[in-house]
Amino acid sequence: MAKSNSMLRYTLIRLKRNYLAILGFVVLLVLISCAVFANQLAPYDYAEQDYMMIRKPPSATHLLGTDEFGRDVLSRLIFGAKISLQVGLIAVSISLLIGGTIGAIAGYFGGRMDNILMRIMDIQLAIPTILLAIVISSALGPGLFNLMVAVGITSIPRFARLMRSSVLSIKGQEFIEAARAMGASHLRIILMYILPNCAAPLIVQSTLSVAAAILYTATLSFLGLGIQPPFPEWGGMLSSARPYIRNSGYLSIFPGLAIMITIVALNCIGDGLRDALDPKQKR
Amino acid sequence: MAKYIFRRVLLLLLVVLSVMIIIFTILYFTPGDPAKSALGQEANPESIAAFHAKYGLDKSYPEQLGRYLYKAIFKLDLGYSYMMKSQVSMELAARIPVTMKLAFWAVLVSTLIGIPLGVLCSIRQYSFLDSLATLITLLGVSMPTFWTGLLLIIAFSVHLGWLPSMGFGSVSEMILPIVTLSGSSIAVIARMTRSSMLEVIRSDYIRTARAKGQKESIVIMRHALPNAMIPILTVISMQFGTLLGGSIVTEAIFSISGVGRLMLEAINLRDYPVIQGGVLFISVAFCLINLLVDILYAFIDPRIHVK
Repeated sequence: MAKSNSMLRYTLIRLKRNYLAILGFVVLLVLISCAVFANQLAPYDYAEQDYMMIRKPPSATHLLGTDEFGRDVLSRLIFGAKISLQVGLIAVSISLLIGGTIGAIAGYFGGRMDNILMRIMDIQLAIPTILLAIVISSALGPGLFNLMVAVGITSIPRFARLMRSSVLSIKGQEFIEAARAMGASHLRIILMYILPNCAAPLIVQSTLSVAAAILYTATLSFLGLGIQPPFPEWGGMLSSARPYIRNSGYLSIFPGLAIMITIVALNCIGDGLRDALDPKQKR
Repeated sequence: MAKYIFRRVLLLLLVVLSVMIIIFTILYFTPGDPAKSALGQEANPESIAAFHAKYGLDKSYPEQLGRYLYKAIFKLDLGYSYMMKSQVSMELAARIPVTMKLAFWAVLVSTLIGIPLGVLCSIRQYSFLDSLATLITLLGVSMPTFWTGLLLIIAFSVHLGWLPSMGFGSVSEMILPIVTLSGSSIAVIARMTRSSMLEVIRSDYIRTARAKGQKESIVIMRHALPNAMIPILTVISMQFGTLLGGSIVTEAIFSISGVGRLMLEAINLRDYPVIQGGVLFISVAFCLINLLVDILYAFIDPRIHVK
């Protein structure tokens, strides 16, 4: 217990020195607040239409302007944060759970099982990620949950490979042997002894994957395969802003800015965590 | 070497075969009837049945899969597009050059900018230039491709009116799509070049080269960069896959009739043979590039002993 405490403390100390990571955490906190308190924070409802205010540029009443149905862009962006974070978290949970299990089994048992599982992962990697996401989401049909599944499936191989290599580097160590000698079951060894020791790379990969998942979600929605209107998904907002690019360029700017800020924040946190959790850099 | 290449090619064929089976299976179990998309929702049962019989859609799953694989492998026949009423292979053949041209230029541009930028950052680590480039590359990897494209159109087509926002024929039409597509790859390649170079620059043989009075430019170009190339090449070959995937988005934004746009149209119309053909082409191209790069390693770094 004492050891995990000091590990956490060292990580936090190192994180505090990384200004970009701090900035990332602050931005993420703001986004999470937006998502949680969307109903309170947003000045208007995301679907509220005002036909007197169609495609009006930013003003005092509508800080970021209104879209082609007279809906408030700022409010839609705030509600969009909810969708994006939701999709990011659930998609990554799916890939972490499935990919992690596959990687753990492959690394722990090795041999033929390892070979078969990792070849399957290789096959999936032969299809470019976004292409696979497009095919799966078109097969599942539109909708929030289907989108999460499609995006989640695409990063399974990355987690499987990461988990496998972590397990491989740990399973030969003495404390695993000791656990086995004491009669611990395979499941217990994997969950209690191996998993805590490969948490660090998994946490880093998860953070970066949330960023990737949000990006893929936005891309799919932009292509018309993701969340359907009137739900304010950031990529979908850009897609519906496209016809008005000549006269209402601001409609194409703010949702993209929201996506970019989110991804930058998550990437900063991921990079910061990687540096902070890397034992090679200790002191 | 020949044995290694032979083994890799065999593996590649296996992977491609699996990709074909997987994509076919995904699409087979996709809800929705292609006949209804092709003939309209109100089509009468007889014409739907005729449509099914014509394209073999009334057969069982193993039968359809077997027929698809047999025709694709032994007759190079990827099927018949429901919508365009033509051979999928013909449609692909018309579109592939456009997509390849786009991907090729994007890879070239991102390599030619990304590597020098990364090298420059690594030899001036922690300088103003390095910090600036780090910031720009961070933004670069975080910008969605489609947004980059939209911003470029707003700036260069709408406001400045310098470049067209559609098509991919003339040089001026090619600039915006290529910049859009290569943006994030430049960032990824520059980042990898920087970290790989930083690792190499600290090694003993670089110190030796400097100690014997070698000119700095030669130390960097002849001693450091070639040794830092392996991870950079890996990233470039991985980027090729990203670029081929990203070309779907880029083609959609700039109305370029390449494979990506063909596939998007096919997805909307449930034109399964076209989707299968498109995925197959992109995966094969991606696998081939990875294979070529793996073989290239052995030439760049003679220490890599081919097992």
